[in-house]
Amino acid sequence: MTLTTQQLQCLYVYCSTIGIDEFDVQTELVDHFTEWIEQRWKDLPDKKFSDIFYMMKESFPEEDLIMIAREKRKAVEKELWNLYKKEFLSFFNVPKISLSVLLFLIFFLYPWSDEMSILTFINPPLQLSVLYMLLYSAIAGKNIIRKNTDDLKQPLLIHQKLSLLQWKAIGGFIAFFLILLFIGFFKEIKLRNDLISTLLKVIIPMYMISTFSITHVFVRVNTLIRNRYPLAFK
Amino acid sequence: MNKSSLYKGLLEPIIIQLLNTNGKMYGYEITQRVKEITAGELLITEGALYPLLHKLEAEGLLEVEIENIGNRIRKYYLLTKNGKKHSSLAIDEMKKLITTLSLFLNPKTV
Repeated sequence: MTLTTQQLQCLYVYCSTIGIDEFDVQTELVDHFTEWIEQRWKDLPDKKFSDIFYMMKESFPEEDLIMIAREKRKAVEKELWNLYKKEFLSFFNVPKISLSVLLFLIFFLYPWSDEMSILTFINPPLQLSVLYMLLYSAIAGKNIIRKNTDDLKQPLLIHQKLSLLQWKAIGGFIAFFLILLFIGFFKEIKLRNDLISTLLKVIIPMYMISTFSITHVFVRVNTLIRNRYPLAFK
Repeated sequence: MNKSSLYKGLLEPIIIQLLNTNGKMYGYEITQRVKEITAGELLITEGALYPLLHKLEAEGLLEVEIENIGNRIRKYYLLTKNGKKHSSLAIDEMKKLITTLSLFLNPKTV
């Protein structure tokens, strides 16, 4: 006997009631329960769905199911980290490594005037980074990041973690941007200040490279998720 | 020490070997196949199976294929290239373990 859509829905609701909200975990468990129920139904054809459903709940302790979801969350974090690492490393091909080195050299070797204020020094690269992040997110994000969010039928565990990370990263970039701007507004701080200028010559290109690479990685990871869980999206 | 804790460490090579032999499999199928092969001697619980499958997937040893089966979705697991390499190592390790254990359990025959 095959379960109807309504009965399957009942299994999904059961997963939600015990605290498993993620579509990917629910889907796997619902398939497992369905197989189990259909098998029992073959042996006990006179039983009602509600009876078999009750037997199923008895056979699969809630704690075990919650533990599966908890372990899955850990595994997803690990998977996401591996994806980031892989995509981040693949971003840095030979031309991009050369450009990064060039960027550092420009900041270190260019004869910046000692009287230049910090604000004048940091403003153009920061503006360029933010502009890049906004443009890239607007163009690529329109295609994939927003599409993923809009089209998601059910919450995916990996998607939830990714969204959280994205907000943390964006928040981090904005906070850092504001801190640098705040420092820059102290007009008396000039580039002749050795410690600050050396620090900025390292931090600014690193900030730019991080912005470029992480924006790219977010878009790539969103694409991979879409390809991997096509049925979770409309 | 109960039987399940004895088998715990062997679960990973068992699953990898099963996937190596059968290609792609889904969770329930794995539990039933293990039960069938071992004539009910070894019963894998969902609480042990799924976390391990998810861990292996996160480590890049398994990949997932999603299929529509009637009115529901099924997630199949299969070995990646890396997983296939790992499978031969895991099986060798298991064989070595069995040989070593037999030295203790059956000293005269070894």
